[in-house]
Amino acid sequence: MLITQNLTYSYNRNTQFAFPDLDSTGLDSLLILGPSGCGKSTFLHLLGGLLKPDSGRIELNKTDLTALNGRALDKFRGQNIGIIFQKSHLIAALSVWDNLKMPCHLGNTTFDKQLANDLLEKLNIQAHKNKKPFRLSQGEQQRVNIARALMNRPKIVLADEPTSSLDDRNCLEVIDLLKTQAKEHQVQLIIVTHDNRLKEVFAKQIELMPQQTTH
Amino acid sequence: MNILKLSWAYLKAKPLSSLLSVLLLAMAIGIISLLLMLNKQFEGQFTKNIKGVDMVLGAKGSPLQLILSSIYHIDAPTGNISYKQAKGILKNPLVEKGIPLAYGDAYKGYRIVGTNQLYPQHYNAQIKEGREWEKDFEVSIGANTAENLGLKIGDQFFSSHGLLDDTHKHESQAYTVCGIYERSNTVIDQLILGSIASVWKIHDESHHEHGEHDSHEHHEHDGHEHHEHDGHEHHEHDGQEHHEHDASTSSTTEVAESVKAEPDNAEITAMLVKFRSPMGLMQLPRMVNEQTPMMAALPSIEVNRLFSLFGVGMDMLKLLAYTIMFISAISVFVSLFNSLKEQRYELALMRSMGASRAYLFALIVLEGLVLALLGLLSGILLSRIGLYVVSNFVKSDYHYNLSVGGFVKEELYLFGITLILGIVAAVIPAIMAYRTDIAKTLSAN
Repeated sequence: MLITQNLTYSYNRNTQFAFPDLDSTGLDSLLILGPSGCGKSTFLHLLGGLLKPDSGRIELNKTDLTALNGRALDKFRGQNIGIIFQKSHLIAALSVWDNLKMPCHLGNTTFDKQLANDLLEKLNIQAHKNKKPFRLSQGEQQRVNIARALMNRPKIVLADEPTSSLDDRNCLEVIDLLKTQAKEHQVQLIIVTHDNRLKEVFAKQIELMPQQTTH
Repeated sequence: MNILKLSWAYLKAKPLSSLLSVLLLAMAIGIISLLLMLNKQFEGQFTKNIKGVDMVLGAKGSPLQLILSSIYHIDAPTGNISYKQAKGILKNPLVEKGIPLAYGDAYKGYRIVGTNQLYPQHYNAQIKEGREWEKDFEVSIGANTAENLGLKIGDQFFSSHGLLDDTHKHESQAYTVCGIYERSNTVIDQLILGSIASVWKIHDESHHEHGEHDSHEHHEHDGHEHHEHDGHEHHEHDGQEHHEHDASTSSTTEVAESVKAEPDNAEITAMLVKFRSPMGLMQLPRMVNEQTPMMAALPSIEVNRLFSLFGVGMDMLKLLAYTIMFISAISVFVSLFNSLKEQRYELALMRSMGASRAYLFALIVLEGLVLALLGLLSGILLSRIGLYVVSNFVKSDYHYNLSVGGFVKEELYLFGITLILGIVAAVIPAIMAYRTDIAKTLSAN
C-alpha cells in the first residue's frame, strides 16, 4: 500500500518538481510515463527513499518514509523496497548467485536458497548461476536484476527504465517476467519509463508533464 | 556472503594492482623483519659468548681479530704469546681468573681448542655423555660438533692445520672422543676441547716429521699471521731441545697437572681474563699493552665496534625498506582510489539494497586491511626464508646455529604499523565511499 501526498523536490531554484499524489491500495502495477527531464527518476528515488522530499509525505504499508533517517531508512529500504535500474547494475566482482545473496546480506535477512533457485528457474537464467555478470547479455543481466530485487520479498518493486536498453523481443520478455513475478510474489510494481512500448502492457498509468519553473 | 568475502572479491577483481601492493609490502616487511631477526640473533650470540670475559690476551695484531678468533672462533689467531707471561698477568690481584686457549687446528672445520676445565665451566657446559677429557689426546666435543660430524664416544680422528679442511693433516697422533657436552647455546657447542698439552705435542711431532728443511718455511709463516693457515702453535720454534722433555712429562700427568708442567717457553694463543672489579678494566689493558709484548683486547669494545660497523649498513637497509613500505602504502591508496571510480555505481546500488554509509566505509577500509595483512604474512614468510638461507650459510661457514622460528618484540610493532598503514591508505577512498550520493550516482548515466 503506497500513498504519497504533495511531494515536491528541488535541485535548485530553476529545477523544481511537484509530483501527483499516489494512492494505490491494491497490487495493480503502475506505469509512470513521461519525457526525459520531467522528474521521473527523481520521483522514483523519492519513493525508494534514496532522496528526501522538500515537502509532502510518502507512506508505504503504514510507515512514513519521510520520517525515517540514516540507518533506519537504509534498513527499511533494504527490507521493503526492491529497486531495478535502467542498466543492469550488478556487482561485477561477484557471480550471479552471489549477487542474489547481496540484498539479504545488506538488508540483514536470511538468504532463501529455494527462492533464489526458483527465481533463476522462472527467469530462465539457471545456467548462468555461477557466471560473472559481464558474461551475460543485457537481457539476461536485467533478469538477474529482477531476481535480485525480489530476493528480500519486498512490498514494492520500483523499476527505473527497466527496458530502455533492450531490443523489442527482450523488452516484452523482460516486462512479462517482471509482471508475472510481481504477481506471484504479491509485490506492487511501479515502473517509470519513457518507453512507449510498455503503454499497451499496463492498465494503470500516470503521465508526468514537463515541469514549469515556479519562479 | 559477508563483508570480508565482498572485499576479497573486489581485490580479486583487480589482481594486478592488488598483487603489486602486496608484493611491495611483503618486500619491505621481509627486509625489516629479517634485519630485526638477524640483529637479535647475532647480538644474542655475540653478547652471550662474551659474558664474563673482560679482557683477552693475545699476540699483537688486530684486536677485533683476536676477539673474533678467541671468543667466537670465527677468525684466525693473531699469533702466539708466552704462557708464562700470560700467567704473570693472572697474579695481579685485580684478576679473578684466566682461561688459557691454544687453538689453530681443526677437524673438518670444527676448531680444536686446547684449554683447561675452566673453559667449559665458564659457559656452564654440562657433559651429556661420557666425561670431560683427562689425558692428552682425549677430547670432549660440543653438541653441534657431535651432531654435524656424527662423532660418537670412542671415535678417533686426526686434526688438520687451520680452520680449512684437509689442508695439512697431523697424522702422527689421533684424538679420541671421550665426552659430548649438552647444548649450551654458546661457542662450546661448535668446538672440540682437549688439553693444551695435546695441542703442543701434535705440533712438536709434526715438526719432528718435517725435519730441518721444513722449519725454515714455518718461520716465514710467522711474518703474516693473519692468514687462516698461520694460526699455528709455533711455540717450539726456538726451543726444540725441550720437545722430548715436554712430551714425557705431560704423558705421565693428568691434564690439570700437565698445564703446570709446561716448559718455560711454552706458548698459547690467547687467554680469556675475568676481572675481580671494574678497576681491572682501568689498569690492566693499558699495562699489558705498554709493558708486555702481548696485546689486551676488550671484547665489549670490539663487539660494539663491530656492531656499529654493521649498524651503518643495517640502517641504510632499514631506510630502504621503510621507503618501500611508504611506496606500498601509496600503491594501496592508488589501487583503492582508482577502483572506486568503477565501483561507484555498485556502491550506490548497495546503498539502495540497504547498506549503510558505515558499511561502505568499512568495506573499503577492509580492502586496505586485507592487502596489508597479505603483505604482512608474505613478508614474514619471506623473512623466515631469508633467515633460513642465512642460517644455513652461517651454519656451514661458521658453525653457529640461528633459530628460524619465533618473533622479535620489534617485529610486533612492525606488524602493528603495517596494519595501521593499510587502514590509513584506505581512509580517503573509504570516506569517498561513505559520501556516495546514491540518487546522483544512480542517475548519472
